[in-house]
Amino acid sequence: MIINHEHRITREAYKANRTFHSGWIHLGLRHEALVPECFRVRGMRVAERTVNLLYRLQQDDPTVESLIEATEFFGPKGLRSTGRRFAETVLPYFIYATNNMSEYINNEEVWNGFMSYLTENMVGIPWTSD
Amino acid sequence: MASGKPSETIKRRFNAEGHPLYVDARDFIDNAWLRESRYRFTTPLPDGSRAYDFVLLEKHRNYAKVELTITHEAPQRTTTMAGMIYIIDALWDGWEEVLKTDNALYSVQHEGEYGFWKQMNQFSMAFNTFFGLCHCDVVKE
Repeated sequence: MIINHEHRITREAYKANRTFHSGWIHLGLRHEALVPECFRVRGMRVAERTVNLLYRLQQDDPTVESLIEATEFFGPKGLRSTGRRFAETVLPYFIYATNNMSEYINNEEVWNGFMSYLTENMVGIPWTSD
Repeated sequence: MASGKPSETIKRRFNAEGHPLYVDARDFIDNAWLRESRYRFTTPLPDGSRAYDFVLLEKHRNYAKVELTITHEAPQRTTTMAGMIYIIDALWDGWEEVLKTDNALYSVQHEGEYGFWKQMNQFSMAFNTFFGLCHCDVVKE
């Protein structure tokens, strides 16, 4: 039994330097009190959900395909209902949180590929301005 | 023609802590820095606190340049992030060189090549929280 940094019991030890290098945990992204008003969703802990997803991404192989798979938002038929719910509620805070982590991303090319896929397939339109 | 009635004025809004909120970048540039060149705010957290330090570096007719340092103090570690933010009311000659981008500008603009969705970051949101300025207002040509 291994208790990871996020105090969850898993089969694997927490990987401190994979998708993100160590230190991002201390940015305070998990605090609900710090979530800007416009990203809050009544009755939902968006910060906790976001950080849980970031932990899942950290544990997986740092390739675009495995990061997309780690989200569990996409199936053979496209966006799953869990992905739709995430897009409707948590996605804006997730974008905000990851924009603050740019200094902690190990492979920018992989990360940009993952974020482009995620936002374009969740929102339906490209989110980038260029 | 003058109606003889006094012109309508908009009452200044204040946030829950009593700090003034500004209508737009013009209002912020004109009125936020009359007596202060530095603002400090602290948000308490269950395991520490987060401090926001706004320092006015430059003030021009069309824009103000503000350095924002965010310090997160937790028992294990203290994390500091610093960013240069431009509060822009209108474009000026040479803005591309100053801001190192030719993207569309926002009235709360992080220095560097920040596109549309990168506008959602701790620096731009801090201006929303403490001064009422939205990260989403595009500067009109």
